[in-house]
Formats: sequence, C-alpha cells, structure tokens
Amino acid sequence: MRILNEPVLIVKDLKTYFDIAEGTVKAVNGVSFELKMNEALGVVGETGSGKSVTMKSVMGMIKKPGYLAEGTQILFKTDEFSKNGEKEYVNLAKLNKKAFTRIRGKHIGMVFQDPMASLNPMYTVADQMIETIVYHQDVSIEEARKRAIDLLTTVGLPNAEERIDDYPFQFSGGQRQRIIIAISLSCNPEVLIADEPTTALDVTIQAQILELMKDLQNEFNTAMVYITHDLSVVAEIADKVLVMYGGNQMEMADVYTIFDRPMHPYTHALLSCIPRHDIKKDELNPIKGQPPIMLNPPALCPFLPRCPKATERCRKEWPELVEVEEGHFLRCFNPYNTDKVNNGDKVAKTEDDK
Amino acid sequence: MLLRVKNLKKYFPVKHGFVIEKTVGHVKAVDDVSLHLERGETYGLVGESGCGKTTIGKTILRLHDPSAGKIMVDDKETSHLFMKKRDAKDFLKREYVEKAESLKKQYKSVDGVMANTESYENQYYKYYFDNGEQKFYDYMMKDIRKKRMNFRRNVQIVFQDPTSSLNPRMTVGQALMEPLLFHGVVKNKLQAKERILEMLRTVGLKAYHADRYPHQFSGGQRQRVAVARAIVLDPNLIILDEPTSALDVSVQAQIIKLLKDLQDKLNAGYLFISHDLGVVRYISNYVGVMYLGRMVEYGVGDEVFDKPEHPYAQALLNAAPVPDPNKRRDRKQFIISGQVPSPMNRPKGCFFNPRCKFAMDECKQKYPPYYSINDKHFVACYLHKENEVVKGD
Repeated sequence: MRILNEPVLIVKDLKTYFDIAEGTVKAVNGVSFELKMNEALGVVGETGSGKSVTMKSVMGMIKKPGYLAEGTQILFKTDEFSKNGEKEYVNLAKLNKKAFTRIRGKHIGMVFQDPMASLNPMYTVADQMIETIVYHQDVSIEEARKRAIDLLTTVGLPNAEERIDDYPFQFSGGQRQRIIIAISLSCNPEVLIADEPTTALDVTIQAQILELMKDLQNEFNTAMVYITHDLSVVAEIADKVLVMYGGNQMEMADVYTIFDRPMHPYTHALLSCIPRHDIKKDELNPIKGQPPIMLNPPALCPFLPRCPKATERCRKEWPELVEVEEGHFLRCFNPYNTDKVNNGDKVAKTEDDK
Repeated sequence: MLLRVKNLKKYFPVKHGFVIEKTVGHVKAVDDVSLHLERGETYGLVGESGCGKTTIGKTILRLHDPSAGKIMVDDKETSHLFMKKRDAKDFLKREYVEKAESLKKQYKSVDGVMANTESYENQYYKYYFDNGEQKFYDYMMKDIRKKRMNFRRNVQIVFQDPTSSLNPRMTVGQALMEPLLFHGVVKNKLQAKERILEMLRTVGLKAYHADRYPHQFSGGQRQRVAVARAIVLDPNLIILDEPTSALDVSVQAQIIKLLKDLQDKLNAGYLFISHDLGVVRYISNYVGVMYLGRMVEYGVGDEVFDKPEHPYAQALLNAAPVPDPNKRRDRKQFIISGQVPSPMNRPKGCFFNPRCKFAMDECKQKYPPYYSINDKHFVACYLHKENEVVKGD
C-alpha cells in the first residue's frame, strides 16, 4: 500500500467541550493524530468515549453549547483558499461557517451509521447526488448525472442507470450504504470519515461494504477514518488505530502493534474481553465497573477506577501523551509490554523524570 | 428433555384489501425447524436479520401461536396452551388425532404405534387411542389456567433492549415483586423483599438499587435488572434474544459472564439468539445456523464453528471479521454476492442456491434433507449426500 509522506490532516490537541447548566462536559479532551494519503485510521472506543465528537469537530459540525477549546488545531492541507493554486495548511478550527461549506463534502466526505437517516426520503437518489456534485463542482446537470451513474456503478449498484431515479426506501440497507458512499466520494475528497459505516448491516453485507471501501481507498487514494466500536472491523481495515476512552486518546499505534502488544491497560482489557468465533476461549475477562461520567471529570486518567494496574501516582497526576516508540503514542504511567518496545528506556525515563 | 421443538412452522399471512381482507400469501418466517435442549445447556441460534431466529424464540415463549409443529417443555405439549379454544382444538386434531390415525394405518396396530414412536409423543397417542377424540381434547384443555401459569413460571425471556422491556414507571423492586406475588412463590411482601435483594446481589447490583427506576441505571445495569427479573421465578428455560447487542464490548463481556455463572447456579437451559458469532461460540454448547426460516446446519458448537460444511455457514463465518490483523485475509473469495431473498417468495429448491457457487441442478429442484457429517454435526446440503440422511424429521 502506497502511503505518501506528507500528511493531509493534522489534528493537534483537539478539545471539544460542552457547557451545560451542571458544568462542562469534556467530550474530547486532547486528541492528536496525523493522517496521510491512502492511510486508514481506525478510531475505537465505547459509547460516550468521544470518537464521534472528535470527527464531528474535524467536520465543523459541533453546535452550541459545544465549542472547540483554545489551542485546538485542525490543520488540513488544501488548495481551496490559496491564491497561487498551491496546497497549504488551513486551520479548520478557526474557519467560519460559510468557508467551511467549501471544505465539507468537497474535501472531507462523511458516511454515517444509518443510511436511511442520512438520505432524504422525499428526493430521488439522482436529485441528491446531482445536488452535491453541482454545488461543489463547475459542471452542468447532465454531466453531473452521468458522473453520478458512473459512481453508482463503481460502488457496485446493479443497473445504476435505471435505479438512480428510485427513492431511498426502494433500496435495501446495504445498497443505501453504497449510495451514501457514492455521494461522499462524488467530489473526490482527500479525507473520508466513516462513522460506524457497517454497524447497521448484517455480517455478509458488512463484508461486502468493507471490501468495497478498501478498493475505493486504493482507487481514489483517499485517506480514511473509520469510527467504530468493533475491534474486529478495525483489525480488518485500519493501518493505524486510535483507542479512545472517556474523551481521551489512550493509545495510538499501527494496527499490528495495537493487537499484538497493546501497552495501555484499557486496550489490553478491551482485547481480552471480546468473544471470538474463530478460536475457542474458555474464559472472558470482563472489565469491571462502568464507563466514566463525562461531567466535570477530575484531571486524572479516566480509566483509573477500572484499571488493574493503577498506582498511587495515577491518583495524583495527569498522564501526558508520550511517544514511546516511533508512531506509538501512549497515555499511561504503568503500561504493559514495556520490555517489547523498541526503545523501552524512553518509557522508563518519562516515568522517572516527573 | 427440557425443550423439544419438532417441525415448528410459523407462517404470517400477508393481507391485502381494506374492508374485505384477502390473504395473498404467507411470510414463512420459520419453516420446519427442530431442536432440543437439556437443562444446563445452551443452544445458540445464529443468522442474519430476517432469518427467523427471533420468531422461533417468540413462538417457544408462546407470544406467537405456531402454525404447525410441536413445542414440548419438560416433555409436555405446550403449543395449544395459549390458543383460543377453537384454534387449540384444530391444532390438536391436526398434530395428534390425525397423526395418530395415520400412524395406526402405517403400523397396522395401536401397539405398533406405541413401539415405534418416542415416549414424549405416544403418551398423547395412547390417551387418544384409549379414550377417544372428545376425551382427548378435554384432557388437553383441563386445568388450562394452571398449565399456563406453570408454563409462564418455567419459561422466561431477556430481550435485546432493556430500556423498552422494563416498565419506566415501576421501580426495580416493584418489577421484581410482581411475578413473585402473582405466582404465589412467596407468602407476603416481606419474604418477597428478601428474595428480591438476593436476586439483585446475584446479578451484581446493590440493595439500594431496588428503589430506583430504570432510567437511573446505565445500559449494562439495566440489562442486569432484566436478567434478575427473568430468573426471579427460578425458571428452567430462559430465552435470550440478543441480550448483549445493545451493550458496549466491556459491558457485554460482564453480562455474558453473569449469564454463564447463573447457568451453573440455576441449571437452566438457555436458548441464545444472536447475530454475534463470537458471543454465540463462547456461550453455546449447540449451534444452529439459520437462513430464510430454515436451519441449514446444526450440531455441537465447536464442530460447526471449526468445520462449517454448508456453503452459507462457511460464507457467514468467513465474512465475520476477526480481531487479529495477522489473520486479515483476502476475503473476495468468500464474499457472497446479492441479498437475502424475500421470505414471501423464496427460491425453488434449496433457498441458498441463487447465491451459492456450488449450486447443482439438484439444488434447484428440491430442498435437501439433513445429512449427518458425524453424530454431532448435521447439514442440509446436497454436497454431503454421500452421508446418511437424518431420519425422523
């Protein structure tokens, strides 16, 4: 797989807070990652871990009372606003609403979980696809229609030419998701964000859609972000995995590292509590306790109450995100598998000098 | 035998017309499914949405009336219990009286029928031969209220979404108290309270949770309440209809572990319905794979998961992703194209033949019988016709 070196999207210290009457909900509290062309990032986490809010922040879809806290940087490389036609980094966090419409849908596409909720039931598929294409690109309606039919054929919709004039309810769940993918790819976006794209689908249809998305990623050279709670899906498609818990980035590494030698106790616990159909497991090790409440959290590791490796230090200090080896980020004082890290002394050092 | 389902069919009529309704066809949700389950064992039903697995659960629980077939709990017929009197009579006539007569013709004598049928069935045939048709109906309908009560006590269910299956206006204590008082398990409220607190402890909740309302719990805790409500009457059979689908992975593992521990304690039989193959493999002793209302493959759990023989079961297992990037495969060879056909208008022959890459002429003619791969593994596919056909279905 070809990964171009220059990242298209750099997120630095993303913080999304919601001010409500009872206090501040820190839905996302410090997430950083980079995304290169043709790279697939998997964002995993449980309900309420902030994975969807992270991506909605990147898309500029956070509504009041939510806001991006000071210091958040979302750098996106684009030529949309440059005068000389060269690509430059634009900070999406500072972009106003109107300018954002030139990015959203054109340079960053999005696929949501429930395809029926994201398609308008009152309009035909053709109407919805042509609208997107004509809004963002300088083409006539006839050309847009032609392009829409091509796209539907690419995503594997049988006899697209006739079916493009059907209404969304006339398609099955898997077909609807294919249409959504076609719409999101219609402007050749650099980044495609898929929020639980296969959760509402059956296993065999899920396999079809995942296979399709993999193919399209290679064909269009798109950078993909998959948000999911399903670790198996991540293992299947992602190059890099970001593990979230309680609004925080707990660990980020390439997919093999995460699954073979996870360092964060949460990642570790999460992996040992999935039942598998391919091998026989005699014992499941559930994580004790409940997910955290996000309202006015203390400045401590959110996994602390459920962590088997918690120490005194965890109860006093906030762990910073540390790069323990190349491309492997970790927020923990007391991780697993430290001996297997390529430069293990770095972890030890960070533990000592604080 | 705790639960014995024999040739169960559930057809839903499709009606057209506003004033004068006309039946234009049937959705064959469950078609000829047989399974049995002992105490302390778990039977897992897997399949995609619309394959009829939930309908089986609901029919066993008698939330639906079966169209045909027998559902026996503790070797007692339960199908007719909740039907209207006339429907029950029709049902008994079709399933027992006519069957008994045809068997009598086949084996030439009453003794022949007795010798060639299983005891759970011929207890009813015997009563019919000894006492005649009318007496048989009266016997079956005698003490129907008591039988119904007994059935409801013995068979319980846990639904997928605890938010909608718990009454939002009842505290957990009240919800657990009601069945205890209704079935007269306890003498007074004080005794009931003791039992409720014990149940809450069993499912990992605290005593003070009894005074809370469902909305005050998290999803996992709510499912624990639903489990507590199901086990409070000490049932023999618990139907678990996707009990963990609405939960997060870490909480899902807690609930599965709880269910497994409870099974050891209560010695109850579980019918576990889920589309999550990993969960089913972990919890089940036996597994049945369903497709369009039929069981295409069944047997001991590990056998079916390790060596699936039906092309559909193979495709299903290979389509499910595995949490191990080293096992990432080139899936294209396994992916089955197309959609599940409508259960109203199923293909002729084997229902899977339009999507099956091994489809032969035979597959398009007639639905295959079950062939036994070994004594723990059965498959309905002509690819295995060199094996012996399973009798009695």
